[in-house]
Amino acid sequence: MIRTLRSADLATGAFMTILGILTLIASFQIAGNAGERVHPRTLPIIVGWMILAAGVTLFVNGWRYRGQPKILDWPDAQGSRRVLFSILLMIVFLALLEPLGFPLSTLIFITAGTWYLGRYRWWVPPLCGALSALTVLVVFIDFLELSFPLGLLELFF
Amino acid sequence: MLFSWQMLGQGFAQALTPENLLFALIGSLVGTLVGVLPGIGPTSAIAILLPLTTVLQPIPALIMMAAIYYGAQYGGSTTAIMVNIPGEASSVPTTLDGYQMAKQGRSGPALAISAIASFGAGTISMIGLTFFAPLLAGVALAFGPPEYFALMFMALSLIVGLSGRALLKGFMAMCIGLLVSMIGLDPITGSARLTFGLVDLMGGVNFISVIIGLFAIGEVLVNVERDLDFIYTSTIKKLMPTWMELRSCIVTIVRATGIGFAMGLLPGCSPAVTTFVAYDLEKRTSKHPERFGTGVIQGVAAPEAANNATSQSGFIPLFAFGIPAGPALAVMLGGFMMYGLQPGPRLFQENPQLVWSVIASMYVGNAMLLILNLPLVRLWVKIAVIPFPILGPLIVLFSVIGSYSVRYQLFDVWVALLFGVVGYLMRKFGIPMAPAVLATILAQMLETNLKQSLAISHGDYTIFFTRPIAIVFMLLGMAVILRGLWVRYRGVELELTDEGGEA
Repeated sequence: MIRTLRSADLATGAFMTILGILTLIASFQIAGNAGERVHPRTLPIIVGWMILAAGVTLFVNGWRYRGQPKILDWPDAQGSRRVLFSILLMIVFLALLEPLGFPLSTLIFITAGTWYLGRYRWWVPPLCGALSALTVLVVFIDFLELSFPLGLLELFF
Repeated sequence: MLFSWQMLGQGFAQALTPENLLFALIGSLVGTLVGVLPGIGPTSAIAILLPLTTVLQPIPALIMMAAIYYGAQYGGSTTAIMVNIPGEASSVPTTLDGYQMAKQGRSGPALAISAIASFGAGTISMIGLTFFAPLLAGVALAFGPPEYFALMFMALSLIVGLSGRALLKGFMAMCIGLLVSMIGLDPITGSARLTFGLVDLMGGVNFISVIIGLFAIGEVLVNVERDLDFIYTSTIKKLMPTWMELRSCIVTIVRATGIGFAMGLLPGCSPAVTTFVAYDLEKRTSKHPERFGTGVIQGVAAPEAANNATSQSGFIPLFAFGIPAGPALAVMLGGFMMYGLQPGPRLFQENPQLVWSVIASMYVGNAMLLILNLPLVRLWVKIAVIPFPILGPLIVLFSVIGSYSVRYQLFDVWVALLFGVVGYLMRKFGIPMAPAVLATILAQMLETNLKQSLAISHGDYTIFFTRPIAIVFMLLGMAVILRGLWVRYRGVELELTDEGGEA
C-alpha cells in the first residue's frame, strides 16, 4: 500500500518510466511518408522521451528523499469501501448502458448509489432513481432528441 | 484596431434578444448552482454541458458557457459564508472571515458584500476585457505559426512553471495531456498514431471525456470517501451592510480587482490563487491585520473581488490569442472549436458579432448574478445542503450523459471513468491537473503550428529564435521554467497552480 508521498513518487516514477518506454516503442512504429518536414512520429517520440525523463527523475528524487515522511490522505476502511463500491457501480452502470438502455440503467445506478451512500428511508433511493430515469427519458431522449440507447424500452418507443 | 462602439452596441443588441437573455439566465443559474454545490465546479459543468449545447446556435451556447464560468465564482461564496464549506477552491479565503461573520449573526452583510464586490470587480474587469482584448487581438494579427507555437510553448511553460514545488509533477501532467491528445490520426498527414490497432482509438481520445473524468468523476470519488452530511445552521437576518462598511470596502474592492485582473491574464494563475494573494495583501495593508480571521468585512470583499476579476480577465488571452488561462477556459476553448471557431484575432475579424455578443452578455450576466445572488440567497443555501449521497450519483450520471453525447460512443464514457480514477489518484499524489487539461486542448494547435512553422523555414528549428515576437515568447517560457526550477530547489513555498481544484 502506498502510504507516504515518497512511496507515491516511487510508484508514479516507475509507472511513468514504463509508460515512457512503451510510448517510445509505439512511436517508433508509427508509419509516415518519406519527405515530410515533420514525421508523424516526431512529436510522440519527443513526448515519450519527456515522459521517460520525468518518470526517472521522479523515481530518483523519491529514492533519494530522506526527509520527514509525508503521509498520504487515504480514506479509512469504510471510506475505501465506499470508493471501491462507487467505482464498481460505475462499471456496472456502463456495462448495462447498451443492453438495458440509458433510462433503465440510470434507474438501477441512482437507486443503488443513493441506497449505498446514504442512510435514507427505503423509498428514497428508488424515488431518486425513478426521477432520474424519467429525466433522462423525457429531457434528453424525447426533448433534446439525443441518440441514447433505449435497450429494453425500444419495444415501447 | 478591432474595437468599435458600433460593434459593442451590436453585441448588446444581440445579447439582449429574448433567446440570448434566456441562455445567459440559464448559464447564470447553472453557474451559481455549480458554485454553491461542493463536488462539482465550472470545469466539469461546462465539460458536461458542452456536448448537449450542440443543439443550440453558437452565440447562445457560448453565452451560456461563459455565464456558467463566471456565475460559479459568485455561487462559491454562499456556502463558504453560511456553512464554512467553500463551493470552489477559490472560495477558501472567503470562509476565513465570512463564516466568522455568519457565526456573529452577520451572514447577511457578508453575503451582500460578497455579491457587491463580485459585481463591482466583474464590471471593472469587463471594461478591461472590452478594451484590452481587441487591442491585444490587433497585435496578434501579426502572428504567424512560429509566433503561435512560441506563445503556446510559453503558456504551457507558465502553467508548469507556476506549479512551484510540484514542478516535476506539473511537467508530468503536461506530458500525459500531450500524450493523450496524440492518440489517433496525425492532424496533417492522417497517419495512425499510438492506436495499437484499436478502431476506437483511431478517432482519438476525446478531450471532453478526459476533463469530465479528471474533474467531475475524480471529485466525486474524493467526496465519496467521506460520509458527507451538510447541516444548515446559520440564518440570514439583515441582508445589507451599513454605509460605513460599504465605504470601507471600496478601496479593498478596487485593489483586489487590480490584483485579480492582472494575475488572471497569466495562464495557470487561477482564481484559487489570486483570492489568497488578494486576501493576504488586504491583511498586510490593513491598520488592524490582527482582526483578519475574526469576521472582518474586507476579508470577504477582497477575495470575492479578486475571484471575479480573475475569471473575467482570463477571457482576454482566450479571445485575443486563443490561449486559455485555466482548465475551465480551456474547456470553453474546446467549445469554440466544436463549433469550428478558433478564438484569436481572426475571430474578431471573421465573427465580430459572436465575440461582441458574448462580451456584451457578460455585462448582462453580471447584473443578473447580482440580482440572483442577493434576494435568492436563502434558496441557494438550501440547495447547497443537498446531501452528497444524492448529489454524487447525479454528478456521475450527468458526467456519463456529457461524455456519451460527444460522439455517441460508449468508449468515451469508459475513457471518462478511467480518467476519473486517474484524477482521484492525481489528487492523492499531489499531481496538478491544470497542465494536463491545457496540454490536452492545446496539443493539436501546438503540433499544427510547429509543422507549419517548419514548412515555412524548410525544416530549420531556429525559426523560433529568429523572429522577434517568437523569440520573446520562447525566452519568457524558458525563464518561467528556470524560475520554477529555482523555486523547486531553493524550497520557496509558492504554488500558483490550483492543485486538484477547479478554476
